[in-house]
Amino acid sequence: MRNVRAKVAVSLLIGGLVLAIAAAPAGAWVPSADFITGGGWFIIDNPYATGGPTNPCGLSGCFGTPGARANFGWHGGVKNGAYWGNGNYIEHSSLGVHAHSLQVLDYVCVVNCDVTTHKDTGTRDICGEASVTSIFGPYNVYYRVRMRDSGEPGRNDAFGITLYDESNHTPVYFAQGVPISGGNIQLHKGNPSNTSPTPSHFCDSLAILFTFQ
Amino acid sequence: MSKTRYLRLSVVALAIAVTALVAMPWPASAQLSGLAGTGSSTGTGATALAATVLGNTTSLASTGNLADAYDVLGAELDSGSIPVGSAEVLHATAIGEGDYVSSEASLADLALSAGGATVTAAFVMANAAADSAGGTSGSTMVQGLVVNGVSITPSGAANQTISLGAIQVVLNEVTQSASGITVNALHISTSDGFVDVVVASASAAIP
Repeated sequence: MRNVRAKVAVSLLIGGLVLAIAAAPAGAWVPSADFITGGGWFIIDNPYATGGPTNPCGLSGCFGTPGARANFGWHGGVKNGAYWGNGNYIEHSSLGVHAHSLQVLDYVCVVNCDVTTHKDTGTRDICGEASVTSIFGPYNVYYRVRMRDSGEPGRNDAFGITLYDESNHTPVYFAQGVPISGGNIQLHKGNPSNTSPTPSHFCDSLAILFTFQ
Repeated sequence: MSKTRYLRLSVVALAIAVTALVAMPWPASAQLSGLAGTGSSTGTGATALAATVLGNTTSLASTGNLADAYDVLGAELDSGSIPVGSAEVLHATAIGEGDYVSSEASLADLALSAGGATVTAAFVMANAAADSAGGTSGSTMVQGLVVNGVSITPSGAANQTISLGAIQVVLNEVTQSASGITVNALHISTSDGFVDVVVASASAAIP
């Protein structure tokens, strides 16, 4: 009987492991060993501007002026075992929001994770820390930038940016252009000399507000 | 229930666990196979804004050239000034994929004043690419271009040239050679030769 109980315990343990492993991908974003680059402009769409009890940005809503013009230049990926990238974003409004990437902390695949040709399309998220200047003064934030390459020459490409309070990861600013009004976003195939860093899973800590993939 | 039955359950559970492990989405790097392509590629790079004024050259957001066809480079600048103007959100990248290289440059809110003329543009971008089979391609985008108060619509043709007084503006300037391609979205120069400005330049050398 003791032997039977032991085997039941082992079976339950293995079964539990199976459940745990199967559940992991649901919240984990897949790192990508490729690159995404782009520059352009768009008219800001921000469905979270008006706050409320169900707004992920809270009762005050997220900054980001709907209808204002925004410009971006951003790139991300992995290079030689480290995250790679940089970027700038400007909202042309009285808010004067200007974000500049300080460091890339994660780079993950959203759509089409297996890029095999330079013509492939797909979506990537770049997560990191940025310095921001605005009418509220300078401060640092975490960011999640989403870039979608829908083909050439930039037709239906999309860009979005969310900024988060560093102390509690609450989203404080949101803007997206779906699609962008001008410019181009390009997903690039990785090359064999490139290696991914140990996944940081930092993107997992930042809520996703984008309405596109 | 027999001992054999429990043993079978354990084996089945283990098999499922192994299957789950294999099915997990590991980093894409593990899925990349060897790519075709040779080692070196020189001359693939991009510059958002470059100006030569009275013999002095200033380059803003410039990647330099790829070290080889596996290199990647990027440059971003919030805003920048040259002796004859300024621009914002300056961006340039150069990417080597082994058998394929590409570069891009863009900027926003360009404002130049040279040779008694003013040139402004809302957004400017250039892209260039080359592959190991010898193919090259390039494209440019110029939006909101105004020269001396006159709106200019790009025709889409290569080397569209506009001369206004003492300045010359070339849109979609393409230089093709056996080794690659260079595309300048805008090239502005004065007739006295004192000012030469290239806005959004992208080059790609056949890898």
